Amino acid sequence: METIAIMLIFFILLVLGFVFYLKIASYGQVGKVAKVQELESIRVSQMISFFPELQCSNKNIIDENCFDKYKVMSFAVLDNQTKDSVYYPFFYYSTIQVTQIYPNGSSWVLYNKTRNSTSYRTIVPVNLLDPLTKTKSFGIMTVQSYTQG
Amino acid sequence: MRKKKAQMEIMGLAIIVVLLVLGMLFAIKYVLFKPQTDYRGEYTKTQLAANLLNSIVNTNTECNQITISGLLQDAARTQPLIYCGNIPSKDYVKNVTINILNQTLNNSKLEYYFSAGTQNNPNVVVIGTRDNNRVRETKIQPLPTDEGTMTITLDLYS
Repeated sequence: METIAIMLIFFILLVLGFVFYLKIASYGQVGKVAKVQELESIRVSQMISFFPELQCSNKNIIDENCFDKYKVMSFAVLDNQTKDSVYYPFFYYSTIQVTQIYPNGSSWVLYNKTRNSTSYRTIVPVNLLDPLTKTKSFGIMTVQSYTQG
Repeated sequence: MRKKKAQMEIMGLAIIVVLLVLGMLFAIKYVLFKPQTDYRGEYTKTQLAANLLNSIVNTNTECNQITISGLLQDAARTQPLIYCGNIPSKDYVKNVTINILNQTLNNSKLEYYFSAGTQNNPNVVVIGTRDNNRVRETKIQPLPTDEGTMTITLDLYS
């Protein structure tokens, strides 16, 4: 009788330990998913920063941290169908906007695919080159990246 | 004899309980209280400081389209040559830089310190106050001038 009671208590403790382990493991997984989503938002902002469709270049030499203003304008007016089919694999669910800060100027929405979920906002300062006057304005690119769940 | 056996069993149970508690404590320590690395925060701040400084110095101003780096080079001279209207290059470039920094960092609620100076004149342009006791992201960019190399510094505070 005693042996059975001891075995019973032992198994109860074992089950409690296992439940506790599962809780801890699921907590760790939630943290890992959040980290992956954060890294994904960084990937999107890095990718758009070095996107050939927007980058400034002169004789095939790329000017880092610079967007060609005319490329930005052209990209902004692309139809949504093209953006969905061509750029969705790069940006997934995100909103990418370029705003000219100095001198005061316009704002362009380059890509906009939203969803109801947590989002991460990244600001990237950029120069906006006017290739006709060869002058650079100061602008910021705002990347709002939406998570998968 | 029977009493001794019961005591031994209780001892066994106690050992199991102690081992389980130890296991739980380890799990709590390594999973729940594991220091969280904020990769995104670190990346965002480093990238923001570097891009911000780089973009600012390359921006053309409304003062005859001279770049901010050009105005800083002039401001470093003992006798500045450039005037934007009636405003000397030193004051003009300071106002433009404040304008850009405030508009960019307003949403992020980040405090900043900006300075540009040469060895002989370390305070050509100074915006904000440097706080050496706070955690900050510092970016430095050298700029050649007639008065020697100018050091442009941007600190972003958490």
